Amino acid sequence: MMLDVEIMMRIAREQYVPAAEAAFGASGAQALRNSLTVVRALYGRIEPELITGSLCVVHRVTDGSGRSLPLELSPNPQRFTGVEMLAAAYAAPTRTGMAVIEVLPSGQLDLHVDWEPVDLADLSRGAVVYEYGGGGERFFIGGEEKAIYNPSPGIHASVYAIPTFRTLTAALEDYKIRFVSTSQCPIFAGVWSNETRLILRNKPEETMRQSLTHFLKTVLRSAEVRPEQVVDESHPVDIKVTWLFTTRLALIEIKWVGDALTKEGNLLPYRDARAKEGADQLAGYLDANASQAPTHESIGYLVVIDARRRGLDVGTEQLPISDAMWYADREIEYDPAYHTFRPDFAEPVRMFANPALSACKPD
Amino acid sequence: MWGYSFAVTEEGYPYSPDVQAAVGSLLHHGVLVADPDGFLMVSSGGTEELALLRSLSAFRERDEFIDGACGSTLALPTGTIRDAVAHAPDVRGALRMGQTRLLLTQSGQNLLYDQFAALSQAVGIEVADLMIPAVVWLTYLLEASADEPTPSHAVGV
Repeated sequence: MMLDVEIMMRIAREQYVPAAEAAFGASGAQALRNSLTVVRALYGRIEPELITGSLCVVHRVTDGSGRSLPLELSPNPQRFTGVEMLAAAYAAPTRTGMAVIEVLPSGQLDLHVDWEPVDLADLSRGAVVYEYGGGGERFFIGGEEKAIYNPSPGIHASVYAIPTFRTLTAALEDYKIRFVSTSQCPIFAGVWSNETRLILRNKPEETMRQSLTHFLKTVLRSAEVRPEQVVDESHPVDIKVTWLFTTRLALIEIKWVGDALTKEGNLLPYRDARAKEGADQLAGYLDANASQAPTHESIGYLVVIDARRRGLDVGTEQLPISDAMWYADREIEYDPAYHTFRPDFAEPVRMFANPALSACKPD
Repeated sequence: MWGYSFAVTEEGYPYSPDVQAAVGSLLHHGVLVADPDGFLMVSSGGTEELALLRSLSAFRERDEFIDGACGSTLALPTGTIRDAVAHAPDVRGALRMGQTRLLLTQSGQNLLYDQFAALSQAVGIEVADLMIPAVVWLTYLLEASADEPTPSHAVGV
Protein backbone atom coordinates (compact mmCIF):
# COMPACT_ATOMS: atom_id res chain seq x y z
CA MET A 1 0.00 0.00 0.00
CA MET A 2 1.66 3.18 -1.18
CA LEU A 3 1.51 6.15 1.15
CA ASP A 4 -1.20 8.52 -0.06
CA VAL A 5 -0.70 11.86 1.62
CA GLU A 6 -3.79 13.32 -0.02
CA ILE A 7 -6.04 10.82 1.74
CA MET A 8 -4.46 11.66 5.07
CA MET A 9 -4.82 15.40 4.50
CA ARG A 10 -8.44 14.98 3.51
CA ILE A 11 -9.21 12.95 6.64
CA ALA A 12 -7.55 15.56 8.83
CA ARG A 13 -9.55 18.28 7.11
CA GLU A 14 -12.96 16.59 7.08
CA GLN A 15 -13.13 14.46 10.20
CA TYR A 16 -14.40 15.70 13.53
CA VAL A 17 -11.60 14.47 15.79
CA PRO A 18 -8.88 16.81 14.55
CA ALA A 19 -11.45 19.59 14.14
CA ALA A 20 -12.07 19.80 17.88
CA GLU A 21 -8.50 20.75 18.64
CA ALA A 22 -8.09 22.84 15.52
CA ALA A 23 -11.09 24.97 16.53
CA PHE A 24 -10.65 25.17 20.29
CA GLY A 25 -7.21 23.86 21.20
CA ALA A 26 -6.76 21.61 24.22
CA SER A 27 -10.18 22.60 25.57
CA GLY A 28 -11.77 21.34 22.38
CA ALA A 29 -9.96 18.03 22.56
CA GLN A 30 -11.09 17.55 26.15
CA ALA A 31 -14.65 18.57 25.31
CA LEU A 32 -14.67 16.02 22.52
CA ARG A 33 -13.44 13.26 24.83
CA ASN A 34 -16.11 14.12 27.38
CA SER A 35 -18.82 14.20 24.72
CA LEU A 36 -17.82 10.87 23.24
CA THR A 37 -17.78 9.30 26.69
CA VAL A 38 -21.33 10.52 27.31
CA VAL A 39 -22.59 9.40 23.89
CA ARG A 40 -21.10 5.92 24.31
CA ALA A 41 -22.46 5.56 27.81
CA LEU A 42 -25.88 6.72 26.66
CA TYR A 43 -25.99 4.26 23.76
CA GLY A 44 -25.07 1.51 26.16
CA ARG A 45 -28.49 2.11 27.70
CA ILE A 46 -30.70 3.17 24.81
CA GLU A 47 -30.80 1.99 21.23
CA PRO A 48 -30.21 4.87 18.85
CA GLU A 49 -32.49 3.16 16.35
CA LEU A 50 -35.36 4.01 18.71
CA ILE A 51 -34.68 7.73 18.43
CA THR A 52 -37.13 8.92 15.80
CA GLY A 53 -36.62 12.62 16.46
CA SER A 54 -33.17 13.95 17.10
CA LEU A 55 -30.72 13.97 19.95
CA CYS A 56 -27.89 16.41 20.48
CA VAL A 57 -25.04 16.32 22.95
CA VAL A 58 -23.51 19.73 23.48
CA HIS A 59 -20.31 20.44 25.36
CA ARG A 60 -19.38 24.02 26.03
CA VAL A 61 -15.79 24.92 25.44
CA THR A 62 -13.96 26.93 28.05
CA ASP A 63 -12.06 30.03 27.03
CA GLY A 64 -8.96 28.98 28.98
CA SER A 65 -9.92 30.94 32.06
CA GLY A 66 -12.13 28.15 33.33
CA ARG A 67 -15.29 29.96 32.28
CA SER A 68 -17.58 28.51 29.67
CA LEU A 69 -19.11 30.43 26.88
CA PRO A 70 -22.79 30.90 27.81
CA LEU A 71 -25.38 28.62 26.32
CA GLU A 72 -29.08 29.02 27.10
CA LEU A 73 -30.80 26.08 25.53
CA SER A 74 -34.00 26.03 27.60
CA PRO A 75 -35.18 27.59 30.87
CA ASN A 76 -35.82 24.40 32.88
CA PRO A 77 -33.52 21.53 32.10
CA GLN A 78 -33.45 18.39 34.19
CA ARG A 79 -30.06 17.96 35.82
CA PHE A 80 -28.38 14.59 36.35
CA THR A 81 -25.14 13.49 37.90
CA GLY A 82 -24.69 10.56 35.55
CA VAL A 83 -25.77 8.98 32.29
CA GLU A 84 -27.66 6.13 33.92
CA MET A 85 -30.34 8.35 35.49
CA LEU A 86 -30.49 10.55 32.42
CA ALA A 87 -31.06 7.56 30.15
CA ALA A 88 -34.00 6.49 32.31
CA ALA A 89 -35.46 9.97 32.03
CA TYR A 90 -34.86 10.12 28.29
CA ALA A 91 -37.95 8.00 27.76
CA ALA A 92 -39.44 6.80 24.51
CA PRO A 93 -41.94 9.68 24.08
CA THR A 94 -39.06 12.12 24.41
CA ARG A 95 -37.23 10.45 21.62
CA THR A 96 -39.78 11.46 19.02
CA GLY A 97 -38.92 15.09 19.51
CA MET A 98 -35.71 17.02 19.70
CA ALA A 99 -33.70 16.69 22.87
CA VAL A 100 -30.38 18.12 23.91
CA ILE A 101 -27.99 16.86 26.53
CA GLU A 102 -25.61 19.54 27.73
CA VAL A 103 -22.38 18.34 29.28
CA LEU A 104 -21.49 20.85 32.00
CA PRO A 105 -17.98 21.72 33.20
CA SER A 106 -18.81 19.99 36.49
CA GLY A 107 -19.47 16.75 34.63
CA GLN A 108 -23.19 16.97 35.36
CA LEU A 109 -25.63 16.59 32.52
CA ASP A 110 -28.59 18.81 31.70
CA LEU A 111 -31.42 17.29 29.66
CA HIS A 112 -33.39 19.83 27.64
CA VAL A 113 -36.57 18.48 26.06
CA ASP A 114 -38.40 21.73 25.48
CA TRP A 115 -35.97 23.84 23.61
CA GLU A 116 -36.09 26.15 20.70
CA PRO A 117 -34.06 24.54 17.96
CA VAL A 118 -31.12 26.59 16.91
CA ASP A 119 -28.72 26.35 14.05
CA LEU A 120 -26.28 23.70 15.25
CA ALA A 121 -23.43 25.04 13.18
CA ASP A 122 -23.89 28.41 14.89
CA LEU A 123 -24.13 26.72 18.29
CA SER A 124 -20.87 24.95 17.59
CA ARG A 125 -18.94 28.21 17.39
CA GLY A 126 -18.60 27.88 21.15
CA ALA A 127 -19.19 24.21 21.67
CA VAL A 128 -18.61 20.70 20.44
CA VAL A 129 -22.00 19.51 19.16
CA TYR A 130 -23.01 15.93 18.36
CA GLU A 131 -26.28 15.26 16.60
CA TYR A 132 -28.07 11.99 15.93
CA GLY A 133 -31.07 12.33 13.68
CA GLY A 134 -32.28 12.43 10.12
CA GLY A 135 -31.03 8.89 9.59
CA GLY A 136 -27.47 9.64 10.56
CA GLU A 137 -25.07 11.27 12.97
CA ARG A 138 -22.62 14.10 12.70
CA PHE A 139 -20.56 16.60 14.65
CA PHE A 140 -20.63 20.38 14.43
CA ILE A 141 -17.42 22.00 15.56
CA GLY A 142 -16.24 25.55 15.22
CA GLY A 143 -19.16 26.50 13.00
CA GLU A 144 -18.80 23.59 10.57
CA GLU A 145 -20.37 20.19 10.07
CA LYS A 146 -17.82 17.40 10.30
CA ALA A 147 -17.98 13.81 9.14
CA ILE A 148 -17.95 10.75 11.38
CA TYR A 149 -16.12 7.72 10.05
CA ASN A 150 -18.36 4.66 10.29
CA PRO A 151 -16.79 1.31 9.38
CA SER A 152 -20.22 -0.26 9.03
CA PRO A 153 -22.44 2.27 7.25
CA GLY A 154 -25.99 1.05 6.86
CA ILE A 155 -25.43 -1.70 9.39
CA HIS A 156 -25.21 0.04 12.72
CA ALA A 157 -27.16 3.22 13.39
CA SER A 158 -24.26 4.79 15.24
CA VAL A 159 -20.56 4.07 15.28
CA TYR A 160 -20.78 4.66 19.04
CA ALA A 161 -23.43 1.96 19.47
CA ILE A 162 -21.73 -0.93 17.76
CA PRO A 163 -22.16 -3.80 20.20
CA THR A 164 -19.23 -5.80 21.36
CA PHE A 165 -19.70 -9.43 22.22
CA ARG A 166 -17.67 -11.50 24.58
CA THR A 167 -18.63 -14.76 22.94
CA LEU A 168 -18.89 -15.86 19.36
CA THR A 169 -22.22 -17.53 20.09
CA ALA A 170 -23.74 -14.23 21.18
CA ALA A 171 -22.30 -12.46 18.15
CA LEU A 172 -23.69 -15.06 15.76
CA GLU A 173 -27.11 -14.80 17.37
CA ASP A 174 -27.08 -11.02 16.89
CA TYR A 175 -25.97 -11.38 13.28
CA LYS A 176 -28.76 -13.86 12.64
CA ILE A 177 -31.50 -11.68 14.11
CA ARG A 178 -30.39 -8.22 13.07
CA PHE A 179 -28.78 -8.75 9.72
CA VAL A 180 -29.57 -12.05 8.03
CA SER A 181 -33.26 -12.23 8.85
CA THR A 182 -33.87 -8.80 7.30
CA SER A 183 -30.91 -8.68 4.88
CA GLN A 184 -30.13 -5.38 6.58
CA CYS A 185 -26.39 -5.71 6.07
CA PRO A 186 -25.54 -3.96 2.77
CA ILE A 187 -22.95 -6.64 2.08
CA PHE A 188 -25.32 -9.54 2.79
CA ALA A 189 -28.04 -7.87 0.73
CA GLY A 190 -25.88 -8.62 -2.29
CA VAL A 191 -26.57 -12.37 -2.08
CA TRP A 192 -29.99 -12.02 -3.71
CA SER A 193 -30.77 -12.22 -7.43
CA ASN A 194 -33.27 -9.37 -7.05
CA GLU A 195 -35.16 -7.31 -4.50
CA THR A 196 -37.79 -10.01 -3.85
CA ARG A 197 -35.22 -11.97 -1.81
CA LEU A 198 -36.73 -15.22 -3.01
CA ILE A 199 -33.83 -16.54 -5.06
CA LEU A 200 -30.11 -16.25 -4.36
CA ARG A 201 -27.76 -15.08 -7.04
CA ASN A 202 -25.11 -17.32 -8.57
CA LYS A 203 -22.38 -18.33 -6.08
CA PRO A 204 -23.38 -16.21 -3.11
CA GLU A 205 -20.86 -17.90 -0.79
CA GLU A 206 -18.13 -15.28 -0.96
CA THR A 207 -20.55 -12.45 -0.22
CA MET A 208 -21.89 -14.34 2.77
CA ARG A 209 -18.37 -14.87 4.05
CA GLN A 210 -17.48 -11.20 3.54
CA SER A 211 -20.59 -10.10 5.41
CA LEU A 212 -20.01 -12.33 8.43
CA THR A 213 -16.28 -11.59 8.50
CA HIS A 214 -16.90 -7.85 8.47
CA PHE A 215 -19.51 -8.15 11.21
CA LEU A 216 -17.38 -10.31 13.50
CA LYS A 217 -14.32 -8.09 13.04
CA THR A 218 -16.31 -5.13 14.24
CA VAL A 219 -18.15 -6.65 17.20
CA LEU A 220 -15.90 -9.27 18.78
CA ARG A 221 -13.78 -8.18 21.70
CA SER A 222 -10.16 -9.15 21.73
CA ALA A 223 -10.39 -11.46 18.75
CA GLU A 224 -8.75 -11.72 15.36
CA VAL A 225 -11.09 -12.69 12.53
CA ARG A 226 -9.53 -14.03 9.35
CA PRO A 227 -11.39 -15.28 6.25
CA GLU A 228 -10.41 -18.34 4.21
CA GLN A 229 -7.84 -19.93 6.40
CA VAL A 230 -6.23 -23.11 5.13
CA VAL A 231 -6.72 -26.01 7.51
CA ASP A 232 -6.10 -28.98 5.30
CA GLU A 233 -5.31 -29.57 1.65
CA SER A 234 -8.93 -29.87 0.60
CA HIS A 235 -10.51 -26.50 1.25
CA PRO A 236 -9.95 -23.45 3.40
CA VAL A 237 -12.33 -23.02 6.32
CA ASP A 238 -14.47 -19.94 5.78
CA ILE A 239 -13.52 -17.97 8.87
CA LYS A 240 -11.01 -18.47 11.66
CA VAL A 241 -11.32 -16.58 14.94
CA THR A 242 -8.55 -16.42 17.50
CA TRP A 243 -8.65 -14.68 20.86
CA LEU A 244 -5.77 -12.63 22.20
CA PHE A 245 -3.70 -14.03 25.07
CA THR A 246 -5.60 -17.33 25.00
CA THR A 247 -5.36 -20.62 23.20
CA ARG A 248 -8.98 -20.42 22.07
CA LEU A 249 -9.72 -20.75 18.42
CA ALA A 250 -12.94 -21.05 16.41
CA LEU A 251 -13.41 -22.40 12.90
CA ILE A 252 -16.56 -21.22 11.14
CA GLU A 253 -17.91 -23.02 8.10
CA ILE A 254 -20.72 -21.31 6.19
CA LYS A 255 -23.20 -23.19 4.04
CA TRP A 256 -26.31 -21.91 2.34
CA VAL A 257 -29.50 -23.76 1.57
CA GLY A 258 -32.12 -22.45 -0.81
CA ASP A 259 -32.29 -21.82 -4.56
CA ALA A 260 -29.64 -19.94 -6.51
CA LEU A 261 -29.89 -18.64 -10.04
CA THR A 262 -27.17 -20.18 -12.20
CA LYS A 263 -25.38 -18.46 -15.08
CA GLU A 264 -27.55 -20.46 -17.44
CA GLY A 265 -30.67 -19.03 -15.82
CA ASN A 266 -31.73 -22.22 -14.03
CA LEU A 267 -32.42 -22.75 -10.37
CA LEU A 268 -29.82 -24.65 -8.35
CA PRO A 269 -31.51 -26.01 -5.24
CA TYR A 270 -29.56 -26.85 -2.12
CA ARG A 271 -31.38 -28.45 0.76
CA ASP A 272 -30.61 -30.29 3.99
CA ALA A 273 -27.93 -32.49 2.45
CA ARG A 274 -25.82 -29.41 1.84
CA ALA A 275 -25.93 -28.44 5.48
CA LYS A 276 -25.06 -31.97 6.53
CA GLU A 277 -22.14 -31.94 4.11
CA GLY A 278 -20.97 -28.78 5.84
CA ALA A 279 -21.11 -30.52 9.20
CA ASP A 280 -18.97 -33.39 7.86
CA GLN A 281 -16.55 -30.87 6.39
CA LEU A 282 -16.25 -28.96 9.63
CA ALA A 283 -15.67 -32.17 11.59
CA GLY A 284 -12.81 -32.92 9.19
CA TYR A 285 -11.32 -29.45 9.72
CA LEU A 286 -11.46 -29.91 13.46
CA ASP A 287 -9.68 -33.25 13.18
CA ALA A 288 -6.97 -31.69 11.02
CA ASN A 289 -6.68 -28.75 13.38
CA ALA A 290 -6.32 -31.00 16.40
CA SER A 291 -3.23 -32.59 14.92
CA GLN A 292 -1.67 -29.39 13.64
CA ALA A 293 -2.40 -27.21 16.66
CA PRO A 294 -2.83 -29.57 19.59
CA THR A 295 -2.30 -26.85 22.19
CA HIS A 296 -5.26 -24.83 20.98
CA GLU A 297 -8.77 -25.17 22.39
CA SER A 298 -10.75 -25.28 19.14
CA ILE A 299 -14.49 -25.08 18.57
CA GLY A 300 -16.21 -25.52 15.22
CA TYR A 301 -19.29 -23.51 14.24
CA LEU A 302 -21.49 -24.45 11.31
CA VAL A 303 -23.47 -21.43 10.09
CA VAL A 304 -26.29 -22.29 7.69
CA ILE A 305 -27.82 -19.40 5.76
CA ASP A 306 -31.34 -20.61 5.08
CA ALA A 307 -32.97 -19.11 2.00
CA ARG A 308 -35.32 -22.01 1.32
CA ARG A 309 -38.74 -21.27 -0.15
CA ARG A 310 -41.48 -23.68 -1.25
CA GLY A 311 -42.84 -23.74 -4.77
CA LEU A 312 -40.22 -21.57 -6.48
CA ASP A 313 -39.71 -21.39 -10.22
CA VAL A 314 -37.32 -19.31 -12.27
CA GLY A 315 -38.86 -15.87 -12.55
CA THR A 316 -41.12 -16.21 -9.49
CA GLU A 317 -41.78 -12.72 -8.19
CA GLN A 318 -44.34 -13.55 -5.52
CA LEU A 319 -45.28 -16.52 -3.40
CA PRO A 320 -48.14 -17.18 -1.03
CA ILE A 321 -46.83 -16.19 2.36
CA SER A 322 -47.11 -19.71 3.72
CA ASP A 323 -44.82 -20.95 0.92
CA ALA A 324 -42.40 -18.06 1.27
CA MET A 325 -42.08 -18.71 5.00
CA TRP A 326 -42.50 -22.49 4.86
CA TYR A 327 -39.00 -23.17 6.15
CA ALA A 328 -38.80 -20.30 8.64
CA ASP A 329 -39.10 -22.62 11.64
CA ARG A 330 -38.04 -25.89 10.06
CA GLU A 331 -34.81 -27.00 11.62
CA ILE A 332 -32.33 -29.22 9.83
CA GLU A 333 -31.67 -32.59 11.42
CA TYR A 334 -28.09 -33.73 11.36
CA ASP A 335 -26.93 -37.32 11.26
CA PRO A 336 -24.39 -37.69 12.69
CA ALA A 337 -25.25 -34.88 15.10
CA TYR A 338 -21.67 -33.97 15.89
CA HIS A 339 -22.69 -31.30 18.35
CA THR A 340 -24.25 -33.91 20.62
CA PHE A 341 -21.09 -35.94 21.14
CA ARG A 342 -18.12 -33.79 20.11
CA PRO A 343 -17.16 -31.16 22.69
CA ASP A 344 -15.34 -29.26 19.96
CA PHE A 345 -18.43 -28.95 17.75
CA ALA A 346 -20.97 -26.24 18.65
CA GLU A 347 -24.64 -26.58 17.84
CA PRO A 348 -25.15 -25.51 14.20
CA VAL A 349 -26.69 -22.07 13.78
CA ARG A 350 -29.39 -21.80 11.15
CA MET A 351 -30.13 -18.27 10.02
CA PHE A 352 -33.37 -17.91 8.08
CA ALA A 353 -33.30 -15.01 5.62
CA ASN A 354 -36.79 -13.59 5.19
CA PRO A 355 -38.13 -12.80 1.76
CA ALA A 356 -39.17 -9.24 0.99
CA LEU A 357 -42.69 -8.40 2.17
CA SER A 358 -43.57 -7.36 -1.35
CA ALA A 359 -42.76 -10.87 -2.54
CA CYS A 360 -45.39 -12.38 -0.25
CA LYS A 361 -49.07 -12.51 -1.12
CA PRO A 362 -51.98 -13.72 0.97
CA ASP A 363 -52.60 -17.47 0.90
CA MET B 1 11.48 3.45 22.69
CA TRP B 2 10.22 1.66 25.78
CA GLY B 3 12.14 -1.51 24.99
CA TYR B 4 9.26 -3.92 24.42
CA SER B 5 9.64 -6.16 21.38
CA PHE B 6 6.71 -7.07 19.16
CA ALA B 7 6.28 -9.65 16.46
CA VAL B 8 3.60 -10.82 14.08
CA THR B 9 2.76 -14.39 14.93
CA GLU B 10 0.97 -17.22 13.21
CA GLU B 11 -2.25 -15.89 14.68
CA GLY B 12 -1.80 -12.72 12.68
CA TYR B 13 -1.70 -10.01 15.31
CA PRO B 14 1.16 -8.11 16.90
CA TYR B 15 2.32 -9.96 19.99
CA SER B 16 4.81 -8.98 22.68
CA PRO B 17 6.31 -11.59 24.96
CA ASP B 18 7.27 -8.76 27.32
CA VAL B 19 3.68 -7.58 27.61
CA GLN B 20 2.44 -11.15 27.91
CA ALA B 21 4.90 -11.82 30.74
CA ALA B 22 3.85 -8.62 32.47
CA VAL B 23 0.18 -9.58 32.23
CA GLY B 24 0.98 -12.95 33.74
CA SER B 25 2.84 -11.36 36.60
CA LEU B 26 0.06 -8.88 37.28
CA LEU B 27 -2.48 -11.69 37.33
CA HIS B 28 -0.31 -13.66 39.69
CA HIS B 29 -0.07 -10.74 42.09
CA GLY B 30 -3.76 -9.88 41.89
CA VAL B 31 -3.20 -6.52 40.24
CA LEU B 32 -5.25 -7.80 37.31
CA VAL B 33 -8.14 -10.21 37.65
CA ALA B 34 -9.51 -12.45 34.92
CA ASP B 35 -13.24 -13.12 34.68
CA PRO B 36 -14.63 -16.51 33.61
CA ASP B 37 -14.42 -15.50 29.96
CA GLY B 38 -10.77 -14.59 30.33
CA PHE B 39 -11.26 -10.83 30.14
CA LEU B 40 -8.98 -8.80 32.37
CA MET B 41 -9.98 -6.15 34.90
CA VAL B 42 -7.89 -3.98 37.17
CA SER B 43 -8.35 -4.76 40.86
CA SER B 44 -8.70 -2.01 43.46
CA GLY B 45 -5.14 -2.66 44.48
CA GLY B 46 -4.17 -2.41 40.86
CA THR B 47 -5.82 0.99 40.60
CA GLU B 48 -3.78 2.23 43.52
CA GLU B 49 -0.59 0.86 42.06
CA LEU B 50 -1.35 2.47 38.72
CA ALA B 51 -1.83 5.84 40.39
CA LEU B 52 1.53 5.44 42.07
CA LEU B 53 3.29 4.48 38.84
CA ARG B 54 1.75 7.42 37.03
CA SER B 55 3.16 9.78 39.63
CA LEU B 56 6.74 8.66 38.97
CA SER B 57 8.64 10.83 36.53
CA ALA B 58 10.03 7.78 34.75
CA PHE B 59 6.54 6.77 33.68
CA ARG B 60 4.67 10.06 33.62
CA GLU B 61 5.46 10.83 30.02
CA ARG B 62 4.16 7.43 28.94
CA ASP B 63 0.70 8.47 30.09
CA GLU B 64 0.30 10.86 27.19
CA PHE B 65 1.00 8.15 24.63
CA ILE B 66 -1.05 5.44 26.29
CA ASP B 67 -3.91 7.85 26.87
CA GLY B 68 -3.82 8.93 23.25
CA ALA B 69 -3.75 5.39 21.89
CA CYS B 70 -6.51 4.18 24.21
CA GLY B 71 -8.51 7.33 23.49
CA SER B 72 -8.92 6.14 19.93
CA THR B 73 -11.42 3.58 21.25
CA LEU B 74 -13.78 6.48 21.93
CA ALA B 75 -13.97 7.21 18.22
CA LEU B 76 -13.59 3.76 16.66
CA PRO B 77 -14.75 0.24 17.59
CA THR B 78 -11.92 -1.92 18.93
CA GLY B 79 -12.44 -4.46 16.17
CA THR B 80 -12.04 -1.72 13.61
CA ILE B 81 -8.85 -0.54 15.29
CA ARG B 82 -7.49 -4.05 15.14
CA ASP B 83 -8.36 -4.24 11.45
CA ALA B 84 -6.60 -0.94 10.85
CA VAL B 85 -3.43 -2.07 12.62
CA ALA B 86 -3.34 -5.13 10.34
CA HIS B 87 -2.84 -2.65 7.50
CA ALA B 88 0.01 -0.78 9.19
CA PRO B 89 3.02 -0.98 6.87
CA ASP B 90 5.19 -3.07 9.15
CA VAL B 91 2.45 -5.48 10.19
CA ARG B 92 1.05 -5.80 6.71
CA GLY B 93 4.39 -6.74 5.24
CA ALA B 94 4.96 -9.40 7.88
CA LEU B 95 1.52 -10.91 7.33
CA ARG B 96 2.02 -11.06 3.59
CA MET B 97 5.33 -12.88 4.04
CA GLY B 98 3.49 -15.54 6.01
CA GLN B 99 6.17 -15.63 8.66
CA THR B 100 6.52 -14.92 12.31
CA ARG B 101 8.56 -11.76 12.17
CA LEU B 102 9.82 -9.09 14.47
CA LEU B 103 8.15 -5.72 14.15
CA LEU B 104 9.66 -2.27 14.59
CA THR B 105 13.00 -3.25 13.14
CA GLN B 106 14.92 -0.43 11.48
CA SER B 107 13.22 -1.02 8.14
CA GLY B 108 9.83 -1.28 9.84
CA GLN B 109 10.40 1.96 11.68
CA ASN B 110 11.38 3.68 8.46
CA LEU B 111 8.04 2.70 6.93
CA LEU B 112 6.20 4.05 9.93
CA TYR B 113 8.20 7.26 10.01
CA ASP B 114 7.15 7.97 6.42
CA GLN B 115 3.52 7.72 7.46
CA PHE B 116 4.04 9.71 10.62
CA ALA B 117 5.75 12.47 8.66
CA ALA B 118 2.63 12.71 6.51
CA LEU B 119 0.53 12.59 9.67
CA SER B 120 2.48 15.50 11.16
CA GLN B 121 1.83 17.43 8.00
CA ALA B 122 -1.88 16.66 8.22
CA VAL B 123 -2.60 17.38 11.88
CA GLY B 124 0.42 19.41 12.95
CA ILE B 125 3.27 18.47 15.25
CA GLU B 126 2.11 20.18 18.42
CA VAL B 127 -1.15 18.51 19.36
CA ALA B 128 -2.72 18.69 22.79
CA ASP B 129 -4.19 15.20 22.64
CA LEU B 130 -2.47 12.28 20.95
CA MET B 131 -5.86 10.70 20.41
CA ILE B 132 -6.14 13.03 17.42
CA PRO B 133 -3.21 11.78 15.32
CA ALA B 134 -4.01 8.24 16.47
CA VAL B 135 -7.56 8.39 15.09
CA VAL B 136 -6.49 10.15 11.89
CA TRP B 137 -3.81 7.52 11.27
CA LEU B 138 -6.14 4.58 11.99
CA THR B 139 -8.82 6.08 9.75
CA TYR B 140 -6.22 6.58 7.04
CA LEU B 141 -5.15 2.93 7.26
CA LEU B 142 -8.78 1.84 6.89
CA GLU B 143 -9.61 4.14 4.00
CA ALA B 144 -6.38 3.62 2.08
CA SER B 145 -6.83 -0.15 2.20
CA ALA B 146 -10.60 -0.23 1.70
CA ASP B 147 -10.38 -2.06 -1.61
CA GLU B 148 -7.83 -4.56 -0.43
CA PRO B 149 -8.42 -7.71 1.59
CA THR B 150 -7.11 -7.75 5.11
CA PRO B 151 -3.67 -9.32 4.95
CA SER B 152 -3.52 -12.66 6.68
CA HIS B 153 -1.41 -15.73 7.12
CA ALA B 154 -2.76 -18.35 4.75
CA VAL B 155 -1.10 -21.11 6.68
CA GLY B 156 -2.16 -24.19 8.52
CA VAL B 157 -3.72 -23.60 11.88
